[in-house]
Amino acid sequence: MVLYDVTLPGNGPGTIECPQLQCPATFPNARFSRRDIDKWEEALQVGPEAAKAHLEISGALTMQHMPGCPFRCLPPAVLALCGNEELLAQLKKVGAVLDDCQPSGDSASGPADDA
Amino acid sequence: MTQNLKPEIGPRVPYPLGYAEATSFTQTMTAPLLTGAALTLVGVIIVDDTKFRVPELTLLLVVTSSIALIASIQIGADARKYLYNRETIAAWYTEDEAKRAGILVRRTKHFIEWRKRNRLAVVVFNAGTMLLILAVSTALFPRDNHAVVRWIASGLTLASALVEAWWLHHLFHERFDETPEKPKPLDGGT
Repeated sequence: MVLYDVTLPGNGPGTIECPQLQCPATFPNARFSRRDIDKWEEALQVGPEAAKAHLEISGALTMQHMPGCPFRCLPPAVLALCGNEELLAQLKKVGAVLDDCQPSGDSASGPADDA
Repeated sequence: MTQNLKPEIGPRVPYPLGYAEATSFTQTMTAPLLTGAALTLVGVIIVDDTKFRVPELTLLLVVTSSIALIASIQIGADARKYLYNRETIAAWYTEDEAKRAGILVRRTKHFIEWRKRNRLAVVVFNAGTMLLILAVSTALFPRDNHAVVRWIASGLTLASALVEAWWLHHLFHERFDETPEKPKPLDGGT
Protein backbone atom coordinates (compact mmCIF):
# COMPACT_ATOMS: atom_id res chain seq x y z
CA MET A 1 0.00 0.00 0.00
CA VAL A 2 2.82 2.40 0.89
CA LEU A 3 4.59 1.62 -2.36
CA TYR A 4 1.34 2.14 -4.25
CA ASP A 5 0.80 5.51 -2.61
CA VAL A 6 4.26 6.92 -3.19
CA THR A 7 4.89 5.72 -6.72
CA LEU A 8 1.79 7.40 -8.13
CA PRO A 9 1.74 11.19 -8.30
CA GLY A 10 -0.10 13.24 -5.72
CA ASN A 11 -0.90 12.53 -2.14
CA GLY A 12 -4.39 11.76 -0.86
CA PRO A 13 -5.94 13.58 2.08
CA GLY A 14 -6.65 10.37 3.99
CA THR A 15 -9.86 8.65 4.97
CA ILE A 16 -12.25 8.78 7.88
CA GLU A 17 -13.43 5.48 9.29
CA CYS A 18 -16.68 4.92 11.11
CA PRO A 19 -15.74 4.84 14.83
CA GLN A 20 -17.79 1.67 15.45
CA LEU A 21 -15.22 -1.11 15.86
CA GLN A 22 -16.72 -3.57 13.34
CA CYS A 23 -18.17 -1.08 10.83
CA PRO A 24 -16.38 -0.83 7.46
CA ALA A 25 -17.84 2.56 6.44
CA THR A 26 -15.39 5.19 5.22
CA PHE A 27 -15.57 8.78 4.01
CA PRO A 28 -12.93 10.98 2.32
CA ASN A 29 -11.17 13.31 4.78
CA ALA A 30 -12.75 16.56 3.63
CA ARG A 31 -12.10 20.03 5.06
CA PHE A 32 -14.21 19.70 8.19
CA SER A 33 -14.41 22.34 10.91
CA ARG A 34 -16.25 22.92 14.18
CA ARG A 35 -18.65 25.12 12.22
CA ASP A 36 -19.93 21.97 10.48
CA ILE A 37 -20.74 20.49 13.89
CA ASP A 38 -22.46 23.73 14.96
CA LYS A 39 -24.61 23.61 11.82
CA TRP A 40 -25.52 19.98 12.55
CA GLU A 41 -26.54 20.87 16.09
CA GLU A 42 -28.62 23.77 14.79
CA ALA A 43 -30.37 21.35 12.42
CA LEU A 44 -31.07 18.98 15.34
CA GLN A 45 -32.64 21.84 17.25
CA VAL A 46 -34.90 22.73 14.31
CA GLY A 47 -36.31 19.20 14.17
CA PRO A 48 -36.25 15.77 12.49
CA GLU A 49 -36.80 17.02 8.94
CA ALA A 50 -33.95 19.51 9.16
CA ALA A 51 -31.71 16.85 10.73
CA LYS A 52 -32.49 14.37 7.94
CA ALA A 53 -31.89 17.06 5.32
CA HIS A 54 -28.55 17.90 6.92
CA LEU A 55 -27.54 14.22 6.95
CA GLU A 56 -28.34 13.97 3.26
CA ILE A 57 -26.41 17.11 2.33
CA SER A 58 -23.40 16.10 4.46
CA GLY A 59 -23.02 12.80 2.60
CA ALA A 60 -23.76 10.74 5.73
CA LEU A 61 -26.28 8.61 3.87
CA THR A 62 -23.70 7.54 1.29
CA MET A 63 -21.52 5.90 3.95
CA GLN A 64 -21.81 2.12 3.78
CA HIS A 65 -22.38 1.46 7.48
CA MET A 66 -23.06 -2.03 8.77
CA PRO A 67 -26.72 -2.75 9.53
CA GLY A 68 -27.69 -1.21 12.86
CA CYS A 69 -24.49 0.82 13.17
CA PRO A 70 -25.29 3.47 15.78
CA PHE A 71 -23.10 6.05 14.05
CA ARG A 72 -24.99 5.99 10.74
CA CYS A 73 -27.10 8.92 11.97
CA LEU A 74 -24.17 11.28 12.41
CA PRO A 75 -22.66 13.46 9.68
CA PRO A 76 -19.04 12.80 8.59
CA ALA A 77 -17.82 16.04 10.22
CA VAL A 78 -18.94 14.74 13.62
CA LEU A 79 -17.28 11.37 13.02
CA ALA A 80 -14.08 13.13 11.95
CA LEU A 81 -13.72 15.78 14.64
CA CYS A 82 -15.39 14.52 17.81
CA GLY A 83 -13.53 12.64 20.52
CA ASN A 84 -15.05 9.52 22.02
CA GLU A 85 -17.06 11.18 24.77
CA GLU A 86 -18.41 13.80 22.42
CA LEU A 87 -19.39 11.08 19.93
CA LEU A 88 -21.46 9.30 22.57
CA ALA A 89 -23.07 12.63 23.53
CA GLN A 90 -23.89 13.24 19.86
CA LEU A 91 -25.54 9.80 19.67
CA LYS A 92 -27.81 10.74 22.56
CA LYS A 93 -28.69 14.07 20.95
CA VAL A 94 -29.59 12.53 17.59
CA GLY A 95 -31.50 9.69 19.29
CA ALA A 96 -33.71 12.27 20.98
CA VAL A 97 -34.62 13.81 17.62
CA LEU A 98 -34.71 10.93 15.12
CA ASP A 99 -36.71 7.84 16.10
CA ASP A 100 -34.67 5.51 13.89
CA CYS A 101 -31.47 6.59 15.58
CA GLN A 102 -32.28 5.94 19.21
CA PRO A 103 -29.32 4.26 20.92
CA SER A 104 -29.56 0.60 21.87
CA GLY A 105 -30.97 -0.24 25.31
CA ASP A 106 -27.57 -1.61 26.37
CA SER A 107 -25.21 0.94 27.79
CA ALA A 108 -22.30 1.85 25.55
CA SER A 109 -19.11 -0.01 26.22
CA GLY A 110 -16.13 2.10 27.17
CA PRO A 111 -14.41 3.39 24.06
CA ALA A 112 -11.57 1.01 23.22
CA ASP A 113 -9.04 3.83 23.17
CA ASP A 114 -10.09 5.29 26.50
CA ALA A 115 -10.21 2.08 28.48
CA MET B 1 -36.39 -1.40 11.40
CA THR B 2 -33.04 -2.93 12.46
CA GLN B 3 -32.14 -2.85 16.15
CA ASN B 4 -29.33 -0.40 16.75
CA LEU B 5 -26.10 -1.95 17.95
CA LYS B 6 -24.38 -0.92 21.15
CA PRO B 7 -21.72 1.76 20.40
CA GLU B 8 -18.29 0.20 20.58
CA ILE B 9 -15.74 2.83 19.63
CA GLY B 10 -12.49 1.52 18.23
CA PRO B 11 -9.12 3.26 18.45
CA ARG B 12 -8.48 6.07 15.96
CA VAL B 13 -5.86 4.90 13.48
CA PRO B 14 -4.72 6.00 10.01
CA TYR B 15 -6.79 4.40 7.26
CA PRO B 16 -5.40 2.43 5.47
CA LEU B 17 -2.79 1.76 8.15
CA GLY B 18 0.06 2.55 5.74
CA TYR B 19 -1.31 6.03 4.99
CA ALA B 20 0.70 7.82 7.68
CA GLU B 21 3.96 6.34 6.40
CA ALA B 22 3.10 7.19 2.80
CA THR B 23 2.18 10.78 3.54
CA SER B 24 5.26 11.19 5.74
CA PHE B 25 7.41 9.94 2.85
CA THR B 26 6.07 12.62 0.52
CA GLN B 27 6.71 15.37 3.10
CA THR B 28 10.17 14.28 4.21
CA MET B 29 11.66 12.79 1.02
CA THR B 30 9.74 13.86 -2.07
CA ALA B 31 9.03 17.48 -1.10
CA PRO B 32 12.69 18.35 -0.26
CA LEU B 33 13.90 16.76 -3.50
CA LEU B 34 11.34 18.64 -5.59
CA THR B 35 12.14 21.87 -3.74
CA GLY B 36 15.81 21.42 -4.61
CA ALA B 37 14.94 20.90 -8.26
CA ALA B 38 12.68 23.96 -8.26
CA LEU B 39 15.30 26.21 -6.67
CA THR B 40 17.89 25.02 -9.20
CA LEU B 41 15.54 26.10 -11.99
CA VAL B 42 15.19 29.50 -10.28
CA GLY B 43 18.99 29.86 -10.36
CA VAL B 44 19.16 28.96 -14.05
CA ILE B 45 16.51 31.54 -15.00
CA ILE B 46 18.12 34.29 -12.93
CA VAL B 47 21.54 33.70 -14.50
CA ASP B 48 20.34 33.71 -18.12
CA ASP B 49 16.69 34.43 -18.87
CA THR B 50 17.33 34.92 -22.61
CA LYS B 51 17.04 31.16 -23.17
CA PHE B 52 13.40 31.12 -22.03
CA ARG B 53 10.32 32.19 -23.96
CA VAL B 54 8.39 33.44 -20.90
CA PRO B 55 11.02 33.73 -18.14
CA GLU B 56 8.88 35.93 -15.85
CA LEU B 57 5.98 33.47 -15.88
CA THR B 58 8.29 30.49 -15.37
CA LEU B 59 10.01 32.26 -12.49
CA LEU B 60 6.68 33.10 -10.87
CA LEU B 61 5.47 29.49 -11.16
CA VAL B 62 8.68 27.94 -9.92
CA VAL B 63 9.01 30.30 -6.95
CA THR B 64 5.37 29.70 -5.94
CA SER B 65 5.97 25.97 -6.28
CA SER B 66 9.05 26.15 -4.03
CA ILE B 67 7.14 28.08 -1.39
CA ALA B 68 4.31 25.53 -1.45
CA LEU B 69 6.67 22.56 -1.23
CA ILE B 70 8.64 24.07 1.67
CA ALA B 71 5.33 24.86 3.39
CA SER B 72 4.26 21.23 2.99
CA ILE B 73 7.48 20.09 4.71
CA GLN B 74 6.88 22.48 7.59
CA ILE B 75 3.16 21.88 8.01
CA GLY B 76 3.74 18.12 7.69
CA ALA B 77 6.37 18.23 10.45
CA ASP B 78 4.03 20.28 12.61
CA ALA B 79 1.24 17.73 12.04
CA ARG B 80 3.50 14.74 12.63
CA LYS B 81 4.02 15.57 16.30
CA TYR B 82 0.38 14.68 16.93
CA LEU B 83 0.71 11.16 15.52
CA TYR B 84 1.98 8.43 17.80
CA ASN B 85 1.00 4.91 18.66
CA ARG B 86 0.72 2.79 21.79
CA GLU B 87 4.38 1.84 21.55
CA THR B 88 5.39 5.48 22.02
CA ILE B 89 3.07 5.82 24.99
CA ALA B 90 4.49 2.62 26.50
CA ALA B 91 8.00 4.02 26.09
CA TRP B 92 7.19 7.03 28.25
CA TYR B 93 4.50 5.86 30.67
CA THR B 94 3.73 2.74 32.63
CA GLU B 95 0.27 1.36 31.95
CA ASP B 96 -0.99 2.70 35.26
CA GLU B 97 0.47 6.18 34.71
CA ALA B 98 -1.02 6.33 31.21
CA LYS B 99 -4.45 5.44 32.55
CA ARG B 100 -4.28 7.91 35.42
CA ALA B 101 -3.04 10.72 33.20
CA GLY B 102 -5.73 10.04 30.58
CA ILE B 103 -3.09 9.62 27.89
CA LEU B 104 -5.27 7.47 25.66
CA VAL B 105 -8.02 10.07 25.67
CA ARG B 106 -5.41 12.68 24.74
CA ARG B 107 -4.08 10.39 22.00
CA THR B 108 -7.52 10.35 20.35
CA LYS B 109 -7.66 14.17 20.38
CA HIS B 110 -4.12 14.36 19.02
CA PHE B 111 -4.93 11.89 16.26
CA ILE B 112 -7.86 14.06 15.14
CA GLU B 113 -5.53 17.08 15.19
CA TRP B 114 -2.93 15.22 13.09
CA ARG B 115 -5.56 14.30 10.51
CA LYS B 116 -6.66 17.96 10.21
CA ARG B 117 -3.15 19.42 9.97
CA ASN B 118 -1.83 16.68 7.72
CA ARG B 119 -4.65 17.36 5.27
CA LEU B 120 -3.40 20.93 4.89
CA ALA B 121 0.15 19.67 4.30
CA VAL B 122 -1.20 17.31 1.63
CA VAL B 123 -3.12 20.07 -0.15
CA VAL B 124 -0.08 22.37 -0.15
CA PHE B 125 2.23 19.55 -1.37
CA ASN B 126 -0.13 18.76 -4.24
CA ALA B 127 -0.36 22.45 -5.17
CA GLY B 128 3.45 22.60 -5.18
CA THR B 129 3.85 19.62 -7.50
CA MET B 130 1.19 20.95 -9.89
CA LEU B 131 2.88 24.36 -10.02
CA LEU B 132 6.25 22.71 -10.63
CA ILE B 133 4.93 20.71 -13.57
CA LEU B 134 3.44 23.88 -15.04
CA ALA B 135 6.74 25.72 -14.46
CA VAL B 136 8.68 23.00 -16.30
CA SER B 137 6.15 23.14 -19.11
CA THR B 138 6.58 26.90 -19.57
CA ALA B 139 10.37 26.54 -19.28
CA LEU B 140 10.21 24.16 -22.24
CA PHE B 141 8.35 26.65 -24.48
CA PRO B 142 10.89 27.19 -27.32
CA ARG B 143 11.87 30.70 -28.30
CA ASP B 144 11.79 29.56 -31.91
CA ASN B 145 8.31 28.58 -33.13
CA HIS B 146 9.81 25.95 -35.47
CA ALA B 147 11.34 23.86 -32.68
CA VAL B 148 8.72 21.14 -33.06
CA VAL B 149 10.30 18.57 -30.76
CA ARG B 150 10.51 21.08 -27.93
CA TRP B 151 6.85 22.01 -28.40
CA ILE B 152 6.05 18.30 -28.16
CA ALA B 153 8.06 18.04 -24.93
CA SER B 154 6.19 21.03 -23.53
CA GLY B 155 2.86 19.55 -24.62
CA LEU B 156 3.71 16.24 -22.96
CA THR B 157 4.47 18.07 -19.71
CA LEU B 158 1.14 19.88 -19.91
CA ALA B 159 -0.58 16.54 -20.56
CA SER B 160 1.10 15.11 -17.47
CA ALA B 161 -0.26 18.10 -15.51
CA LEU B 162 -3.74 17.10 -16.65
CA VAL B 163 -3.16 13.47 -15.59
CA GLU B 164 -1.87 14.71 -12.23
CA ALA B 165 -4.97 16.89 -11.80
CA TRP B 166 -7.23 13.93 -12.60
CA TRP B 167 -5.34 11.69 -10.19
CA LEU B 168 -5.53 14.25 -7.40
CA HIS B 169 -9.27 14.56 -7.95
CA HIS B 170 -9.50 10.78 -7.67
CA LEU B 171 -7.44 10.71 -4.45
CA PHE B 172 -9.58 13.40 -2.84
CA HIS B 173 -12.75 11.40 -3.50
CA GLU B 174 -11.31 7.96 -2.78
CA ARG B 175 -13.67 5.62 -0.92
CA PHE B 176 -12.72 2.24 0.49
CA ASP B 177 -16.27 0.92 0.86
CA GLU B 178 -16.70 -2.48 -0.69
CA THR B 179 -20.18 -1.79 -1.98
CA PRO B 180 -20.99 0.91 -4.54
CA GLU B 181 -21.94 4.33 -3.21
CA LYS B 182 -25.69 4.78 -2.86
CA PRO B 183 -27.75 6.69 -0.32
CA LYS B 184 -29.14 4.50 2.47
CA PRO B 185 -32.28 4.98 4.55
CA LEU B 186 -31.81 5.62 8.25
CA ASP B 187 -34.12 2.80 9.34
CA GLY B 188 -31.69 -0.06 9.48
CA GLY B 189 -28.97 0.92 7.10
CA THR B 190 -29.18 -2.22 4.94
